[in-house]
Amino acid sequence: MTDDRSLERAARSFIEAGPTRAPEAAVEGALLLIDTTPQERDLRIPLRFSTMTTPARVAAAAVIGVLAIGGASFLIGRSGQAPNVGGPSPSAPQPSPSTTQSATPLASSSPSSAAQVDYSTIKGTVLMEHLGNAPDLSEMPTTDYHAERRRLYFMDPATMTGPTAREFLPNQPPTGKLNADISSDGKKVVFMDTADPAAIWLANVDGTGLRKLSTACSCSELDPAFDPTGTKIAFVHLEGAWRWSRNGAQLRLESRAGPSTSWLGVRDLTTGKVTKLDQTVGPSNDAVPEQPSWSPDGKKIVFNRTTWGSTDFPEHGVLQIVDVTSGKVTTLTAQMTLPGDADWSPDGSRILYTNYPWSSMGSIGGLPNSQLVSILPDGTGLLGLPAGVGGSWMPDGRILFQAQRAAGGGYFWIINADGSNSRPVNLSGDSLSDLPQGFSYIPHWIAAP
Amino acid sequence: MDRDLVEQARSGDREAFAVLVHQVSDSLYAVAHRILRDSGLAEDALQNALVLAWRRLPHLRDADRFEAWIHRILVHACYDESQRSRSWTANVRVLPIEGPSAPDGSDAVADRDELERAYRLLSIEQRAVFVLHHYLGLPLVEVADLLGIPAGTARSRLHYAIAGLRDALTAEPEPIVREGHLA
Repeated sequence: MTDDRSLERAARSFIEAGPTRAPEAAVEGALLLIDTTPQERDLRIPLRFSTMTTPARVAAAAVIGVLAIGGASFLIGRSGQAPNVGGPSPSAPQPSPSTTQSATPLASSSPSSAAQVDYSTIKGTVLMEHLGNAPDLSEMPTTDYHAERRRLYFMDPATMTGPTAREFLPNQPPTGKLNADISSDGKKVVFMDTADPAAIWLANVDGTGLRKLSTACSCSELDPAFDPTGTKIAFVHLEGAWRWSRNGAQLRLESRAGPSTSWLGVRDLTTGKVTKLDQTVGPSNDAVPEQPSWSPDGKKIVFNRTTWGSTDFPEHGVLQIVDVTSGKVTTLTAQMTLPGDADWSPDGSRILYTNYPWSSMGSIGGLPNSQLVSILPDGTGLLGLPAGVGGSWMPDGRILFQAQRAAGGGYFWIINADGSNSRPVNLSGDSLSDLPQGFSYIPHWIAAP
Repeated sequence: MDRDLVEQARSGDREAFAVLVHQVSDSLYAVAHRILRDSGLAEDALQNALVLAWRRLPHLRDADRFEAWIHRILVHACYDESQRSRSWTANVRVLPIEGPSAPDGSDAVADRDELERAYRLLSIEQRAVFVLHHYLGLPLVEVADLLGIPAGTARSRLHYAIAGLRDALTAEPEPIVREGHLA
């Protein structure tokens, strides 16, 4: 294939191969966005007004004066009002509510631009997991490797801007932080670091009381999750391997010396005692249990088991539930290709998760589009939710997530459990997902005490 | 393309625009996929282009130029998607892998693999010209007009695209690499 003619022929044939039809979901998603998007229209001002008589000029001047005074009064009156937190906007983009296969919607998951929802009635703070350059733009944009640039930030829902983001425990520990969880009373944060081996840490929300929970071990401890009482955590024990989680762009499982095993454990935060959930033991290190989340009654834990392929890439996964008392593990039947980031709803009725979870896959771009879904704990009732990532339940039973780029991405959104009433947390907030300001990917709502 | 539909959509008729979307989306997606070589990115580019086209439609002066105009928007959406993707692929580790298995041993499969690898080395601007010219069959002058670049630039991009493909295909075999995962 070296002469120009045969090269061009082969290149033409190559470029002709490929899809010729647009995916229906993508087109429908765009049309949904367009439904709430206004067109840009020029403001037409005549270059020259027609000749006016003196009385007409006086009348026009009077009208302009009245309008100016009225407008100024209106603006002064508004200046003291609270910012619009998650209020509706007819021009705001709406996440695509594409429904997944075999979904059984609880109700229409179409976003509604008409419904009025005031999220400011739910007081609290957003803790967001963040990857890359600082959201306040204080760091030079770089794509170079920085292990410590997996961080946690608090954001005020009333602003949701990069400059007002407050980093949680800067440089403590001097590694990155990820996979955080908040205790149900909103007072404590548990997270894992990016060290090798990885360890789990606990601190108060105000930044005091930082302590390492993991004890000396050749193993890694990953993905901590508070039980409903805040006195125990579930976590992943990984031995003979290390899950690369440093900057998210290089996720893989690396072999380490020693026996290979992985399992879910429960650690008592008072005594430090660890209970191994025997039936969650991975058959090998290519089937690691990950990302546990407790049922609100504290009796069960949902988690995903990722199977890592020979290329180091997560190939497929399943969602499983372990009964903490009996140790019995059940696999949920309605599965997606790679479920993860599971979160059990506060009322226990549904489990929210993401197909192609960013935190599990450790990435931001170049992945298949992620889809939020929820499922009943018995594995039925799969409900397709908007295209998005990092979904987590809010205390009032709504869902906080980041929409996919084409569906209003870069911003955090809130939806009802049935997928309705899609609203951005803050209409005037900053984009939280781009190279200069880094990438925010998992928001957690911390209820105000 | 129905000029009346474009006029109706331009004046704010969403239903008319939806009809137009269904008429052009296959072509737009096919072009985006061939430029970006990634289904997810192509879907994002398609959606962004359609939404942007709706917003900017009132500024379109000549309704007869709708199709070229929306393709231009799409190509720029592809540039944006490529930029976002590249931001994080830049620090992806390059891993040695075994060569393609080519189970049937056919030259066609091997050629296609080689072309795929070589094509991915082209710049996004070169790919855009290549796709518009060789896939949509637009003459280079029209490609230049659609992209808003001088005809000489379009010609040069196509030349370098072909040269890039040739160089990659005729170069001495190097250790085969692939992009790491993610990013």
